[in-house]
Amino acid sequence: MTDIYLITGFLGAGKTTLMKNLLSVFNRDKTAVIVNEFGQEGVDGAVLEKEGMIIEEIVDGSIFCVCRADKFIDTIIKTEKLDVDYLIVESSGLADPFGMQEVMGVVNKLAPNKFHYSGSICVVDTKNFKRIYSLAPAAKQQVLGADLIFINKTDIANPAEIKEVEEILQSLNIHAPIIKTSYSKIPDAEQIYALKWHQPDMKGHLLKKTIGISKCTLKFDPVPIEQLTSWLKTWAGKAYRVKGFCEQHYLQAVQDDVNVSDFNDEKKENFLVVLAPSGDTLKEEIKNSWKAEFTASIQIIF
Amino acid sequence: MNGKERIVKLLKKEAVDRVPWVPFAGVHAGKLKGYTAKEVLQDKDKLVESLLEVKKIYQPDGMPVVFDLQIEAEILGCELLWADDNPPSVSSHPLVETKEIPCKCLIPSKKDGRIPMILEAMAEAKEKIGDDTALYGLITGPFTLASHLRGQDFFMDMLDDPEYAKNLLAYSTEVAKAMCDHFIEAGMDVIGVVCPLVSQISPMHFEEFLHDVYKELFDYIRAKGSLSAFFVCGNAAPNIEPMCKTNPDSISVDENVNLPEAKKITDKYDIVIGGNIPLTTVMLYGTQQDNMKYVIDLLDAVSHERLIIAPGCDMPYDLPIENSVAVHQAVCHTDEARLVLDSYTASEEEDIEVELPDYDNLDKALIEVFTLNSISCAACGYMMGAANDAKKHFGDSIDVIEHRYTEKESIARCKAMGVTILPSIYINGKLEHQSIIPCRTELFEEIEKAIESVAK
Repeated sequence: MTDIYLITGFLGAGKTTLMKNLLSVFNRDKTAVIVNEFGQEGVDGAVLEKEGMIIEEIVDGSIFCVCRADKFIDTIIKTEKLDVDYLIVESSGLADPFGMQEVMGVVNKLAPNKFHYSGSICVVDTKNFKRIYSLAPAAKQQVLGADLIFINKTDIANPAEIKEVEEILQSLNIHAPIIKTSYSKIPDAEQIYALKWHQPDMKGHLLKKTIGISKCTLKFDPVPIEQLTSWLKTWAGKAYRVKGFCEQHYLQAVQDDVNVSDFNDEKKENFLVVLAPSGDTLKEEIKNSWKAEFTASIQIIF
Repeated sequence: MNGKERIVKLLKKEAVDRVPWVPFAGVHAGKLKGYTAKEVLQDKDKLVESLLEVKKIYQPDGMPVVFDLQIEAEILGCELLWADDNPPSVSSHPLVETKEIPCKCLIPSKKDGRIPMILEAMAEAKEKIGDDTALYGLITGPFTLASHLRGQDFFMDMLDDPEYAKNLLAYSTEVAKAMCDHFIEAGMDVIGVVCPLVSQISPMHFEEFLHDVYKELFDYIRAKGSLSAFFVCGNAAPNIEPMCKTNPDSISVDENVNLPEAKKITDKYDIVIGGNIPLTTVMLYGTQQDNMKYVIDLLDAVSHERLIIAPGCDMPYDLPIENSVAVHQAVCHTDEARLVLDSYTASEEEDIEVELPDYDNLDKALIEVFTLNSISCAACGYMMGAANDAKKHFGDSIDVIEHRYTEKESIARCKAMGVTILPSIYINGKLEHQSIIPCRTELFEEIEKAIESVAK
């Protein structure tokens, strides 16, 4: 099961930097990258591979990708054999994330239950956004179709400019959280793991999800890692994949196989992201079994 | 009225007998003859051979000779990345580091780059199929060419340095005019100005940067006595009216544009609109029924005047041949295609039982041809023709039967046998050929083996 993240944003907004930062978030996982544009700064593969990650840089397509969904679909399907956990797509500056609905429809037809689309992260250049927004319809589509928005380069903008851009973004997209940042820094990895595609239509209304895989996030108070691992083994086989953190441990479960490794970060996080078949049965089971096993509280976010 | 007359009259705003069909078989043409994209874009003979096959199988009213938006860019210094199943992509932009306007001495002449090969192919196609098929010469739109030369920074130029952007567009327009000269001289009936990037800017910026450029270009084509088409892809809906104001003879859009809504605008300007069968979901991954249904629904949703049915853009290389065959059937024999769909729906509702032959114990070799209809569908006709030719040769040693998809019983038979692609040839119950017509020798050898196996 490969989890797809789409990065959108106009030229020079900070997409490549965000991709590198995303790779750092996923640095315990096998990750592939599709770069949908020529002539840009590449990923520093050598450095990242030293950290134990496999990078597949697939340079594909051109500025005309708007009308060539088939090429993009082919490239996604080709990554199946790489058996990666994450696929980050750095789209062309002109890409329209609404095309992902059609793309995923075909991908799921060709490779059922192999890919899950987590959603799109739109990077916005605070200084240039207003001008670009007036020029290029893609800039508006990218915000409308975003599931998470980074207002980037806030270090070189004044508060009034940031506020103005934020207001435009909020008026366009009511559901995507907005992160204000510089150098596309990711302040909270949890927001990345928990990213979820909202499948809005062109007017921004929510549509019923049609794909048979759903994602939820479990947020909980710390519990002993051994106990958490045993609990996870009781239901993880019913999910496609479970990943997350408990204090200084990183957990990863594929079917019944649960792996725990040390996570030496100052920040202690407690959450698990679950990719599972659509439907409420498993979620109910998770909730009930947690209550039976632990006294600590849990929150299940769909 | 033949296809060429139909397209020419339509673009001259005269009455025509039916809606024309223009398959944009660019590199896909190569697939029909087993050639790669690279081969048909670099080898005149392979290109012409493929174009003749498009004409034979898809029966178009009009068709492009070459669909490659990198021809001019390559001559002007862009590096190309070639693929076997796609047109090449531009991988470097000569003006990315420098805000220069290229020298006029670089404007493509008839001797530059791949132009000699293309002009030869155009001349040969004109001679062989040009009497009854409107041939389209496609050139790269100035906005797209400017972006090839400068890279995506061209978008920022439009904001930061509009004067430079306009100068580069003016240069690209001179290139486009030169290409028009070459292609019109080579006998192209319609000049298609292909500019996918038009959908990527707002109507306000279209007005500021592109209106004059495209108006000048379409006036130029008209002054030379030729006809024009303005191709765009992506969501160009907001720019349909600005495009109309540049006065092309026709506009072509893809599935991102609601064609019935766009047609209200093009009708207001009395401009022909073409489109917009979805390339990926319908043509590449859909079934023949999906393709027929899309076309019929489209034909039912709009008035038939000033209309062309075409794919949304350049057809993907691997597009199933049978899907194009189905589109041709739906455009040119709409009532029959309706019958096919109705029969298909009825066969879903009714539980029709069919008795399949006992293929393991046949008295003689059985050649079954599954068709949409061998009379109206050209590809089906050729497939049936191949079987009939075999019948003449082998006489009473074989049986040849046509199962037409217009009949419910045939559809039930297709389902029972797992036939999903039309036309197909099954020999003794086994699939031997689908979509691609077998050559005589190959088919005869297969039949000889089938006769031997029955005798055993």
